[in-house]
Parts: sequence; structure tokens; C-alpha cells
Amino acid sequence: MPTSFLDLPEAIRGYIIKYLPQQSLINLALTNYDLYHPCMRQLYSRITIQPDPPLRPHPQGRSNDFHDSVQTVVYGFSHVRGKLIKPEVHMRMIIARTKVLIQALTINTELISYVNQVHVLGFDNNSSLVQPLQELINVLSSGSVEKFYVGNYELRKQLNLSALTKLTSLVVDDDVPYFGDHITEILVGQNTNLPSLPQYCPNLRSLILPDDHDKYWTWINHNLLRHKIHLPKLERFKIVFNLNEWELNLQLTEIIPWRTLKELELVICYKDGDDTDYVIDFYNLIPICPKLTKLSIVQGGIFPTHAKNEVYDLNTFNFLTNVLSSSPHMIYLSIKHKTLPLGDFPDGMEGNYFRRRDSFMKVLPKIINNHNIILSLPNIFESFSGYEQYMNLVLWNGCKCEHCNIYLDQLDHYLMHHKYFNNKLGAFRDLNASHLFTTIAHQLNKRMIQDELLTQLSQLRFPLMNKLWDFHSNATFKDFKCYEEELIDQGEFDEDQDILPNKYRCEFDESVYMHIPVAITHYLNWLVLDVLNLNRGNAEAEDEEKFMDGGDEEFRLNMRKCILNGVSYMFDHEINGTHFYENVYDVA
Amino acid sequence: MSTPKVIIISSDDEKFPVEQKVAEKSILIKNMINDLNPDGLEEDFEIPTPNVRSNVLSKVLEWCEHHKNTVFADDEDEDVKKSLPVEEWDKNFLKVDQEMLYEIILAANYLNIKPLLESGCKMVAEMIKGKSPEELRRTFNIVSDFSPEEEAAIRRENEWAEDR
Repeated sequence: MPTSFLDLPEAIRGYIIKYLPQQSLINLALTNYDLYHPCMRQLYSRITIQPDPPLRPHPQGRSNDFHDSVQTVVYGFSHVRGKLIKPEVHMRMIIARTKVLIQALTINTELISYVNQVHVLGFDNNSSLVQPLQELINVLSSGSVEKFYVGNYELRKQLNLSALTKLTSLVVDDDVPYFGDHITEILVGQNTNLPSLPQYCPNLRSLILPDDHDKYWTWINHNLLRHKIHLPKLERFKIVFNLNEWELNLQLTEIIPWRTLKELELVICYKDGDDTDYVIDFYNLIPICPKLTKLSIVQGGIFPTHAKNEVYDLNTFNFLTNVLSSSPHMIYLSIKHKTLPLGDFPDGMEGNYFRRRDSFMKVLPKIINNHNIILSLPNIFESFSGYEQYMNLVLWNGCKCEHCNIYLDQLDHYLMHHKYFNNKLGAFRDLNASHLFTTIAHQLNKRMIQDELLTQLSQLRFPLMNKLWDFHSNATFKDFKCYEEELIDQGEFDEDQDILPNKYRCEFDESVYMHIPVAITHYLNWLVLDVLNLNRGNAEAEDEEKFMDGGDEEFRLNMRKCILNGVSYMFDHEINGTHFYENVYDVA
Repeated sequence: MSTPKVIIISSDDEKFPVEQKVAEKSILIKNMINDLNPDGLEEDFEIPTPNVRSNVLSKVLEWCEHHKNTVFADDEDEDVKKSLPVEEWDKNFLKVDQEMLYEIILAANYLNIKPLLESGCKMVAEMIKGKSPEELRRTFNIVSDFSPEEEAAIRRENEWAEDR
């Protein structure tokens, strides 16, 4: 009879250790020699080097996941509320950590054999990283690293990976030598011509190209279709539908082994004009995929009005209904929109927020409910924040909890003292709630992987990041601008007395932002209640409401998890059957 | 004639008659039933589980009974498993002392009941998370066999991965 953790067979200890985040692996390794090696094997197996720390679940959380154990992350410092650390200090720490890692691998060479994958993500072309990364590559050359992925092209091209002879995944830029037929994954970076593709093809399981329509089709035409190459073992693929030449779509679909395909990303670009049927035509091209487990649908261009997005979503839902009926093993679905940088759709005021909310929070969960699907809607809040009228309500008449009273108020204050650059007018204009929430949503989305070669299919492979926002940069090319003078409150205004406005000193930065995601999730909670079919009633509601307690006969939710715009929600049932949800990472 | 039962016998010879559907949550038992009864069960079928004590077996079968209609995803995707918490019902069910938890895990492993094994392992992982090495030794009854120097060396070695 086992009385201690150490009495369990090694294999079972291994299962348990798999669920531990990095700090716990180190702590457990320190307890006993028998635990040291299995913990190290796990700690060193998948390493990601990135600027931001991973989000860790709240220790007292009711339904905590184990998502932060998927990678060991090399980052700068954790973000502690009230303490702001400059980016360059984070960077110095990242380099220091990488050097300690190299040292550990050099001293204890056994650790090298544990390293299976390394990802370097989210950096610009940072020259200070080149040397430590190259050193790391050199040290790892005696091991069996299968993937060493560097997201940034400029950084990547300064590194030489040829010492890593066991790679099975390869990013091809121009001038990449042939790596051997053990390569099973090709990620097309800055490449136009890959003469060795026919040699790779018989064993290729994954082929991923950039999202850009023209880049995609130039490469596919030149390297794949022209040579009529087949990919018999392909399991993972991305399709960017061709807007201009229908025939090419047909040719491409003919070479994909649909019956064995497991993971698929579809990128649908926007075609100007009133015709929306092309989206249906694209979807109709996809045959039955009986082995499909993961599906991602991405808008490749901006569908510029709410009305067009609504039609697009309905077509997508129809497609999903069909796919799910023939793909019984689906476990993951991601739907990502492309939004305007500041969310200012021309029909922003007229758009029917409620109809769109219902389609995602009520219709979609029902469509997928027969499958145990993890749903990822990476920028759904970003897409909803384009509805200006409703965002006004969220800001000024939203959550009334103590936290939101402070921080929604702060956002209101921010709005009153900042301007955005209006491109059409060529001048700065007052911000509205839609601009602000779209930008916050954009930042929350950055908690998730942004890399087009890793695709949205890989979101579960990387922990969510604790990403901060400086409150001024945004998705346009001009930062939000602070007012020069403080606004004078009407109440203080006295006609007899001249009050000179004070100079406005903006205090909005990352340290304020640290509190914002919690306030935003209080809005997202309303959405989640729809997913759960849960409404316990609102004492102040004017209309008579229908109470719903979720888990009733009408609708029992099977979905266990939903990632809404970078915020992780778990769904489960109380012992009495009532649904409940838990926000894993954002707790006030 | 009533539907034939599967009678599972614990190591201490206690007999647990259960519905076939419940017993088949164990892939080991399911395969045994199918291999030895290719035409389906016609009469009660006894299966001994010499590794599992009666108090553990009764717990495991309680789990099988509760989940008899649950459809579990049959995939082996590690990332998917890690992104899900222990289900609320399982969490309550597995609130037992450590010794019992380990025995359930071992039984789930032997009987090949993957979702129960997964929940059990995640429960232990939850117990490990957030504890210092000293707290871990106390909680799990682990005797340290490192010298202070060795411990310091391991700390140094893994400093790059410390949360701070």
C-alpha cells in the first residue's frame, strides 16, 4: 500500500509531474533525489523565451486549470501590482536567465537530452538576444531538440540552427539548406522558393504558411501546385482561400488528404462588394474530415461593417454545424475576427449588439454542445467593443462592484483627458468608449499567441501571458494623446471668478492597467452567464425576467472551457446540477 | 431473465455485481469481457482484480457508476488535458486521505480507467502546487537525501526558471 508519494510507481509520478508549473517542479526536485530527474525532464522539455510572464491561476481558485504547466517560460520579472519595472530591466533579466540556463546545460550535460522544444516569441529584432540564443543553440546541438522556433524573422536570420541535426520542425526562409527527410513540419517564413519541398513531402505532417493572401498563393502556386506535389501524411494545414482564382482553391483542395487531416486553420479574407456568398462557397469546398480534432477560423481581412460581420458569422455557424456532424473527435475550436484598429465601424451606433451577442453566447454553444469542445474566441470582446452605444453602457452603467467603481471611473477619467488621431480628418479628436475598449480588448488578446506560423490552433500549447499596456500605444500608428489642461468640472465653475485650468499630468500607465482586466472580466461575466443559460434575476430589472438556473432540462452545457479574448473561463456543474463558471486568472 | 451482471472480485474476495456498462468504464475489464464473450454476455461474468482491495474497488465502482453515461474525449492530447481542471464531482469524490487517493490512482491505472487516473493525478498535482520544498516533504512524507550543498547546487542550476 502506498503511503508516500515516493511509493507510487515511477510512471504514475510522471503523470502527476506533467501537471506542475515550473516553480513547483523546482520545489519538488529539491525534496528528494528520486524526484529530481523526472522533475528536470519536465522542466527542460518545452522552453519558451518571451518578454512577458505567464499568468498563474489564483491559488484559492475553485476550478484551476493546469495550462501554465505546458511550457517553462523564461521571462523577466513577474508583474506585481504597484511595482513597475522598465522593459530594459526585464530584458536584462531575460538575458541573465538565458545565460544561467546555458550554464546549467553546460555543467550538467544530462539536462540537454531533456530539451525537446524551444520557442522564442514576442521579441522585436533585439540584438542583445542574438548571442545568448546562438550559444543556447550550440549547447543544445548534442541533444535531441526537435523544434527551435524563433518568431521574429530579423532575429531568426541572425541565428544558425544547422548544429541542431535532430530538428523535425523547420522554419524556411530564403537560403535554408536541406535538413533531411526527418523533417515533419515546415513553417514557411520569408521564403518564395523551396526546391527541396518534394524531398520533405512524403513525411510532412504539418505545413503552415503566412496569412497574407498574396504571399500564401505565390508560394503555393510556385512550390506546390506547379509541381503537382502530394502530401500523403499531412495532418495539419492552413488554407487561405483564394479570392481571385476559384480554380486554384479547387486544385489545392485536391492535394490535401482530408480523411486523415487532424488540425485545420481556415483564413477567409474580405472581398469588397455586396456579394457575401463567396464565404459560403469557400466553406463548401471543405470535404468531410472524420479525424479532425482542432479547427480554427480566422478572418484574413477586415469585414468593415457590423452587418457584414453578422452575415459572415451566420455562414460560419452553418459550416460548423456541418463539420461537427462529420467530425466526432473535435476538441478545440477557435474563431478569430479581424477588427478595425479602434473599432470604429461606420455602423457602430446602429449595429445590433444584442443579436450578435446572442449568436456567440447562445447559438454557438448550442451548436458545439454535443462535443466536449474547448472554445477559443481570442478577440470576441474586441469585436463587440465596436458597438459604441453598448460600450457606453458598459463604461457608465456597468458593473457596480467596489473594484469597478474605482477602475471604470478611472477609465472614464482617462477618456475625458485623451484624444485619438482621426485619420480621415488628419487631426486628434476626443476618444469614445468604443475606441478605448477596443484598445483594451486588443491588449487582452495579446495574452495569447499572435504568431501566424504557430496559428490559433496552438493556443493551448502556450500559457496565457500577463501582458501590460502603457495606456497610450494602440493599434494605429499614432499613440493616444493626453490633454494639455485639466478639464474643469461644471460644478466648480463660477462665472464671477476666472479659474485657470491646471496643466494635466497623465498618471495612466502599466501600473493602473494591472487592475483593468478584472474590471473588463466583470463585463465578460455577463456574456458567460448567457453561455451557461444562467440568470438568477436582477432585483432592479424593470421588465419581468425569466429566471434560468442552467443545467436544467432545457440546456445542459457540455463545454468545459472557453477562452474569451484572453480570459480563461471554466464551466462545471454543482453537485445539484446547476451550472457554474470560474474565471481562472483574473481575480480582484 | 434479468440482464447478466459483471461481478468484480476484490483482492480480499468481496464480490461487486455491477451493470456491464459500469464495469466497462475500465478498459481492462471491457477488453476481457469482449475477448472471453465474443457473442456478448449471456450470464453473469466474474472478474478477479487481485491488486485492488474491496474498500478501494467500491470507491472506484462508485466513480464508474456516476460516470456511466459520461462520454469522455478519447484523445491523448496533453495540452487539452492540461487546460482542463478536475471536474467538480470528481474533486468532491476524491477528497479522501492521501493513502486512499494513491490507491484509487493505482487501481485506475491497473484497471485502465484513464479519466479517473487523470483526475487523481491532477488532485495530487494540486496538492503539490504552491508549496515550498519543506512543506512538500512534510505533506508527502518525503525524506530528503540531499546534502545542503547539493540542494544549493540544484537551486542554482534552475534559477533561470524561478518565478520571481
